[in-house]
Amino acid sequence: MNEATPIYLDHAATTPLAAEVVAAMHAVLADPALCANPSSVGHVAGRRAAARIARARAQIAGVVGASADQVVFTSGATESDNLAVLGVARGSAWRGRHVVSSKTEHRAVLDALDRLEREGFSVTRLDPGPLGRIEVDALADALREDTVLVSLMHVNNETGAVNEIAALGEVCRRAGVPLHVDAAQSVGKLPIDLQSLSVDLLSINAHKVNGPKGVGALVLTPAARRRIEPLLFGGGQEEGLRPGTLATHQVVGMAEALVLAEQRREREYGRLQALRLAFWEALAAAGGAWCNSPLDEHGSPWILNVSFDGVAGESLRLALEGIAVSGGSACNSASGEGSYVLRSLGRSDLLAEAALRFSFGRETDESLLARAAVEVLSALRRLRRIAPAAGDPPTVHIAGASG
Amino acid sequence: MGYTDGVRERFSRLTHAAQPEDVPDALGEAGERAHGACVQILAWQAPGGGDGRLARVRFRALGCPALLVAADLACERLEGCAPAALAAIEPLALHAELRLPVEKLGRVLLVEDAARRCLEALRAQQGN
Repeated sequence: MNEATPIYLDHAATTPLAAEVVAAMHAVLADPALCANPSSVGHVAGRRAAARIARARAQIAGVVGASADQVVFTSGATESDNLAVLGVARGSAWRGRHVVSSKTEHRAVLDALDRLEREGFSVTRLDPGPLGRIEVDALADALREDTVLVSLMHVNNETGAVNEIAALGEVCRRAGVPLHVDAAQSVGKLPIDLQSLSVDLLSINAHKVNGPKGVGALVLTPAARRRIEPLLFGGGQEEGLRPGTLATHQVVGMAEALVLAEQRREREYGRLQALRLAFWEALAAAGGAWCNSPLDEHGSPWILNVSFDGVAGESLRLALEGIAVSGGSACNSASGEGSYVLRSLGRSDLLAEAALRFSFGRETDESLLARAAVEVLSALRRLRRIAPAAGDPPTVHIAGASG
Repeated sequence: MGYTDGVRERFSRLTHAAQPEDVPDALGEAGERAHGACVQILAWQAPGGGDGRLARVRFRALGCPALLVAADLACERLEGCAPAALAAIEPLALHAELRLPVEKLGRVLLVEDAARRCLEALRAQQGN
């Protein structure tokens, strides 16, 4: 057992802070001139902090093609999702009480939808199509006269499947329904330009791209702002939509991380796409391997989800204690539920349970993945040798391919 | 995965796992591969007309760590015992010794079933 330094391949869960982010946050924390409450604009210290917040807000807005006044800071993407789903639905209840989403959303959305149902809303949860993506026609068919919100994730956090938010947004825009997109797995990784996309609300965070945990934002259009109700009350910050004293160092760290990610986005995309393909080929050499992630442009290069025949997922994960890797998504791992996403791809319960989600980041390189591949292949060989003999010899399967 | 350090340590070694090429004197199986949990207990008796004690006991298994470590511990305990010990495994005691999560008791029962079937196979072979 390797308790020491695991090979970290769980960047879809969170990432280490970038040195530049640490430096930016430290600069704020260590500067007495920035210690003031940014809401205390009645004195110079407060105005200094407010100015630092304003600069960070503008930087974050720039990353997603929005204006600074569209950015509302929150505690993270979970709160942003809650605020978007609950806030818009409640604020639009006089117009209708129907919400459309998908069965493969993050629990931050799914649990908010459950809450809306208990409040009397009707929710349509779309099934994903092949490769785990939401199909445009399915969305169009689900919209009704009384639909007040559509909430869909940009990148599936289990498989990395990328939804076509441009096309999905057009469907919503034509129907006059606001679209909320959970971009927790895509901001700083895929291009997002709210000026050209028909997206009304965007949940973002920074800790998936080497930024701090505990801070996020909901970016929303003026039209969405008119429809949304706050979840918290008191203080009036963020124009009353999300009250509470802003943590200057957190906001600054988020901005630094997102700006860095955006600067490196295209280069990282190409680099990780190549590494992901090579890693999959290495794993496929084990035989009995099922790739659950789209390997082309419909999949995020930051995520590779693989199932293996002939082993139990729980044993495989325990045998891989030298690798920090997630079984399916972190939330499914915690609940012990089989992955709906993977079963929707046609994987058996056993294969869904035996899935590993490898997710990559800035620190991931060829040598690290080579070490990880050796560990995975070794664990597979060991566990398969222990297992009673199966029937057919192992083969390799790729998501979307026939069979 | 709520396993103790002891379970993790045993899982990392599994000293009583059979080799694929092993051919035992008798084999008992329980569970189903299609359901993600199956275990085989393989037994060899002492050669040379001794008292029939189990000279070597090994397992094969597909399943969760609880199944694998329970089978491993059972095999370790069975070696050197009279064949009747194959039918005397105490699953509750194994479960408690390994401090497995309560929901894993069913996996230990599979080990008990496989061992009983191994004894049946051994006796059937001797009856032939």
